[in-house]
Amino acid sequence: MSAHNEPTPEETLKHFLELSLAQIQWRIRKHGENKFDAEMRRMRLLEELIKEQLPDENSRFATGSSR
Amino acid sequence: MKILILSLLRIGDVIMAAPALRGLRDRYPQARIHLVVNSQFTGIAPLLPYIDRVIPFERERLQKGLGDASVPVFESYARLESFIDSLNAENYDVAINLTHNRLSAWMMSLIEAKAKTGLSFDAQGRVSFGSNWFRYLNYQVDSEGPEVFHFSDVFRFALDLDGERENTLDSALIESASGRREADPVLNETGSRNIIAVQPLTSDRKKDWGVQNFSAAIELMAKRFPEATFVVLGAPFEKEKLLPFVDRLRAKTIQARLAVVSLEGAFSLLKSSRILLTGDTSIKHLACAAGTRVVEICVGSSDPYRTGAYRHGSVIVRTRETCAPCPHSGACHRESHACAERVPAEAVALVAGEVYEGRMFQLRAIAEEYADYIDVLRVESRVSGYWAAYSVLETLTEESLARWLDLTCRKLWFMGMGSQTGGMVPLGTEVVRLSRLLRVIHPWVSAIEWRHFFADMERDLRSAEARINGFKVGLEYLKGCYEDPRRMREFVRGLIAFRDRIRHVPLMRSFKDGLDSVIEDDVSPAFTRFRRIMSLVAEIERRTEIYLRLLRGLAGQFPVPHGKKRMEKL
Repeated sequence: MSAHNEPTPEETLKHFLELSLAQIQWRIRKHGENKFDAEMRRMRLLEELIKEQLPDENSRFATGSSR
Repeated sequence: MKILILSLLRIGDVIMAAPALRGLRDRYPQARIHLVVNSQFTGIAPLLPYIDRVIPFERERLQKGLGDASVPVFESYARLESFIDSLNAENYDVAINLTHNRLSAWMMSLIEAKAKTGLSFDAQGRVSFGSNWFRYLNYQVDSEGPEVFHFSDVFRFALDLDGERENTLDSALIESASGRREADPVLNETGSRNIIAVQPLTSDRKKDWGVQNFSAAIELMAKRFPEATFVVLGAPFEKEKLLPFVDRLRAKTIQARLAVVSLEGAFSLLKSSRILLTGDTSIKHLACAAGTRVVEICVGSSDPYRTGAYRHGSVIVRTRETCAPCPHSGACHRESHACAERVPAEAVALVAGEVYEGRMFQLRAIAEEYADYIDVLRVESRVSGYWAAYSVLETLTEESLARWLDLTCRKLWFMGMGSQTGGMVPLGTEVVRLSRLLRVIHPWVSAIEWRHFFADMERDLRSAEARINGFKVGLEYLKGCYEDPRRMREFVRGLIAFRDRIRHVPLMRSFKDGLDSVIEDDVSPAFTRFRRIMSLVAEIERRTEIYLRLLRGLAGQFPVPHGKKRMEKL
C-alpha cells in the first residue's frame, strides 16, 4: 500500500486556487493604507474570481460586507 | 451619450434584464449602449440587436490562469488590467450594474463613468447602490418567502422604466434571421401548429425534475392531445443525453423530435410553440420573451418569486418540500432528491394540458387534488404593474392581502413617496393596478367584504400611527442624552414592546426586520445607534402613511352598490 495517495484533479485545482488566493490576500494586506486604490481593487476582483471556484463559496449574491 | 451595462451572472439573468435594456434603448434612442456579459453567453447578442456592442468578460480564462500551476497568478492580473483599461478608454457617461455580486461591484469601482447606478464599491471601499431599488435587491436576496419583486421588475424600476411599454417583454428580444433558418426545418418537418416545446435538462442537477418524470408527463399529454408534437430542446452539449430520451418517446409512437439549436434557434422555435414545459432554465426566460406561455416545474434551488416565468398566463408547479428553495451552492443534503421525486408527473401533465388549451378553470381542482405534493401558482403581469405569482388556492386573509399591499407600498416608497425630496408619485395609478390585481386573485369576493378587510387593516395601522407619534416625542427627548445608557435602554424597551405587538398584525410584520436590527444592535456607538433608530422610526412613519393612503384609495375602488349601502345602515 502506498504511503501517499495521488491527489485527484479537483484536489490539485483546489490546492492551486488556495495558493493563488493566499498570494493575493497577502498582497492586499501588505498594501495597508492603499487598500482601495485601483491596483488593490483589481486584486479584490481576482480574489472574488478565485473564491467563486472554491467549494462552499457562493459569491453569486452580495451579502455580508457589502451591507 | 454612452452607457455601459454589466450583467455578469448567467444567461437567464441577462434575459431577465432584457426588458430593462429595451426600456433604456427606447428612452435614449441616440445613445451608444454597451453590455458586458460573461464570454460564454455572448450568443445572446444577435437577439439584442438594439445593443450596440456586447463585450465578453473572459471570466473562465481569468479563472483558469488563477488555478493553473504553469501560469503565473499575475498573468490574470495583467489581463484584467487591460480589460478594464479598454472599458475606460470608451469614456462612458453612465455605468449600470445589473449584477448583484461582489465581483461586479469591484469591477464597477474600477470603471470610470460620470454616473454610476447599481452595486459598487467607492474609493473608500464602502458599498454604494445609486438607487433604493439596488439597495433593496442586495437585501432581498436574504429574505425568504413571496414578499419580493421579480428581478426583471427590480431592474426596470431601478432605471425608472416603469410604464415605458405596456407589455414589458415586447421586443425585449428580437428574432434573428439565422435563428429562423435553424427553426424552419424543424417547423417544416413537424408541419404542425400544435407544438409543445420541452426543455427537460437544467444547468443545475438540483433543479432537474428528471427525464423519467418528463417522459411520463409527455406520455399522458400525448394521449390527451394526439395532434400535438413535442419538440425537445437542447444545447449541443446535451445531445447525447437527450437522444435516448426522444427515441424512447418515439418508440411509444409519440410525435417527438429533438431540436439541438443555438439560443437564436430556440427563440425562433419557441415563437412558434403553444407552450413550453421546463424547469428553471434560461429557455424559460427565452419563451417568456417569445410570447409563449410556460409551465415551470420549480424544484431544488429554483426561486419562483424572484426568477419565475415572466409571461402572463404561465403557471408554476412548485414542490411543497419545506427545504425548497435551497441555496445555490452545495449539493442536496437529503438522501434522495425528494422535491423532484414528489412532484407527480400526472399533476404536471394536467396543468400543462390546461395551459395548452388556454383555459385555467380546472387549475384549482388539480391543485386541490395534489395539494400534499405541489402548489400551483398563476402568473399575472398585465394588470398589477409588477410581476405577481399567486397560489390558485390562495384564500383572502389579512396575511395574503398584506403581501400585495406591502409590495405596492415598497414600490411607492422607493419611488420617493413620503420623502421630503420625493417628486410626483403615481399613487392613483398604483391603487388602480393593485385593485385590479386583487380582483383577479379573488374574483368572488364582494365589495362589502373588501371594505371590511380594508377597514380592519386601517384600524390596526391607526393604532400603530399613535405609537409612532409617541416614539417621535421620545426621540426628541433622547436627542440630547442618547449617550445615557439608561435612557437608551428605556427607549429600546418601547421598541421591543412595539415589535411584540405588531407580530400579530400581518401588514406591519415587514417592519419587524428593521426593528430587529436596531434592537439587537448593542455594539454600535451610541450616536450610530441613535441615528439608526431615528431613520427607522422615520421609515415606519412614512410607510404607515403610504399604507393608510393605499387602503383608503382601495376602499374607493370597491364601491358598495347603493342598495346594499342602505341595507348596511339598517
